[in-house]
Amino acid sequence: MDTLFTLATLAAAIRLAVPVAMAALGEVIAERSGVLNLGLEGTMLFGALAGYLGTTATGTPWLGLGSGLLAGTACGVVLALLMVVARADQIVTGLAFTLFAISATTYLFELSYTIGEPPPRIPSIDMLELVVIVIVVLAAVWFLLARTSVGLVLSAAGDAPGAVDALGYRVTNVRGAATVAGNALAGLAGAMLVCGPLGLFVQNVTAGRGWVALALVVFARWRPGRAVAGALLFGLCDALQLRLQGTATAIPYEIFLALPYLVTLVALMVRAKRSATPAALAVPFVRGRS
Amino acid sequence: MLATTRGLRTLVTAIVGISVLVLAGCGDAGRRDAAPSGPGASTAPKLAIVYSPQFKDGSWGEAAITGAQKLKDSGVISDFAAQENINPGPDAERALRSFAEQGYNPIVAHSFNYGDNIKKVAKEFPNTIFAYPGGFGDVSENVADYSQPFHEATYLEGILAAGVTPGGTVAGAGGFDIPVCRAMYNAYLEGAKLVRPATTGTFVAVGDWSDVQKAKEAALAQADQGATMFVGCGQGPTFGQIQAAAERKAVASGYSGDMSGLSPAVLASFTWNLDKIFGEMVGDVAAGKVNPTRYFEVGMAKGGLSVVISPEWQAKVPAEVKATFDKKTAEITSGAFVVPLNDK
Repeated sequence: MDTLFTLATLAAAIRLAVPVAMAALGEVIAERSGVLNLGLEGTMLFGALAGYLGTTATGTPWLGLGSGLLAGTACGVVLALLMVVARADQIVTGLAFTLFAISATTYLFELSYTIGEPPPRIPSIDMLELVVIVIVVLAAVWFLLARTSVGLVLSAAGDAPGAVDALGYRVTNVRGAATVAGNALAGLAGAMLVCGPLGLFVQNVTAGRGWVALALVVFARWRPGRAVAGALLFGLCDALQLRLQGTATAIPYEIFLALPYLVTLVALMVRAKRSATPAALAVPFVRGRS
Repeated sequence: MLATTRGLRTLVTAIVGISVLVLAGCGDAGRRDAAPSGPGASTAPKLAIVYSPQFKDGSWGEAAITGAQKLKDSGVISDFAAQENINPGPDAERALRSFAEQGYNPIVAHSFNYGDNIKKVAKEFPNTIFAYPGGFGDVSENVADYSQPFHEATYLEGILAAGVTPGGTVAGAGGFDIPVCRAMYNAYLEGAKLVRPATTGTFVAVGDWSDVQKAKEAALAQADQGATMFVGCGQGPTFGQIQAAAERKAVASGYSGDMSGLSPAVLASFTWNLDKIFGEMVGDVAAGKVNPTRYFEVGMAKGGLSVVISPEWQAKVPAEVKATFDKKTAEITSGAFVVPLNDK
């Protein structure tokens, strides 16, 4: 067991946590404004593909990150138009967007692929720099939500949109901006995965990280710091289980695979008592009707 | 207003329901496959492949397309059709039926997860071979199974790996702990032991076939525990291992495709020459041996697999190791030596 709790395990936990933490921060912004963005996984996929193609085109992974951010912003604009402006059902829209993203990224990736030629590996950004980005974004999101009037209006749009409207702010604009910003970070998260530890793109490369991030936001009760901490905890469970499999033998490996999810479930149950769900989460706002 | 809407809804539902029934009836009437062609049929058979992710993966999926293309180029089949991103379940059954109705024979469902689907559809088209990679001789009537004797290739890769690394253990990984993956890992370990008898190793189930980051972390964890030789089962686990091996100056293996172009860490890969396997199925169809069909076991001896040493490693493999590798390759190919299958 002494090999388990080492710096190497902690480093692995951080590496696994980075993309999830960034996506969770994006989702915190969107959900605090009252928009439940189930398109998170899809936006991450678009960001990942943009990060890969951006890096192969320019040779610079930092421009890949930029491409991911831009792709995320574009996804955010589409989702904001659908969910905030057109007021389509947020759950259905988000799910449909993710399904669309899986197919679209598969197709777009295939266009750049020739049979018999392995796709090029892209240069990677150092993990330390990605961790710095997460810390900077975390500080910025925390400051925005907790210490500025913009953050106050944003949270109010998620809790009492009628009051925000009465104060003279446009709820649609606030929620739209939050959706765009949240998706931009999700796109960046996807690009960080591909331009950071992987250096390649494969079909469905995000492998459910967007869904984990969504669960973490609930787990963190819509607080940015706790969302990042939750991502770290999740990463630590994964890092531990992968190491446990190599050492212990008597326990069925399926239990190790389930470990991170079991921890999440337990954490959710412990935390569920004191919910801080934005009161108007996933409820479209219509002027004069609330 | 409400009543009108409800009435309208009922009407629409009724129309849709009736059309579905009528269409289903039409489908049944048209559902028939050709009688066995028998020897001396005028045109070569047509092959169809159904796959759940995308074909262009540099591995398992691509091997099927490449194999089919080879058969078409050599005139063994008159044409082939391929459909990707088909989930197992109703979608797969629809695709399989559609190909059978169009006269494709044999029809290959190129994923273990299609097992139930092909067994269901095969009953409706008794004169068509439906094959899937069950890998355990799961044959009944016109349902065929084709094996994945990848352990033959990884045995040889293990010899090379132990020959070029100064020490260290073997790290195996698969999406899940399934027999084919275990057999690959065990054979690789046996091969390594031939060069370094005291070699040990570990096998990790990543829990996902496409999560490359988790696979890379699994490999890094094994490297922390002393692994220097990696053997992966499934594209995701293998891609992750290759990335990890490149960081840790270890050697990795390519899976179901020549992955030497991915990284200098790839010592050797094996290719899965599905033209040989599909070729045998097509031969059976042309000869009218469709029902009952058989278990297609096409290993190295029949050219179903080949091991490719990466170009930059060619000169770096020590002569005596290369000699052992060549000797064992020859023995396996001639059938003089059978790589033990240990999937526990």
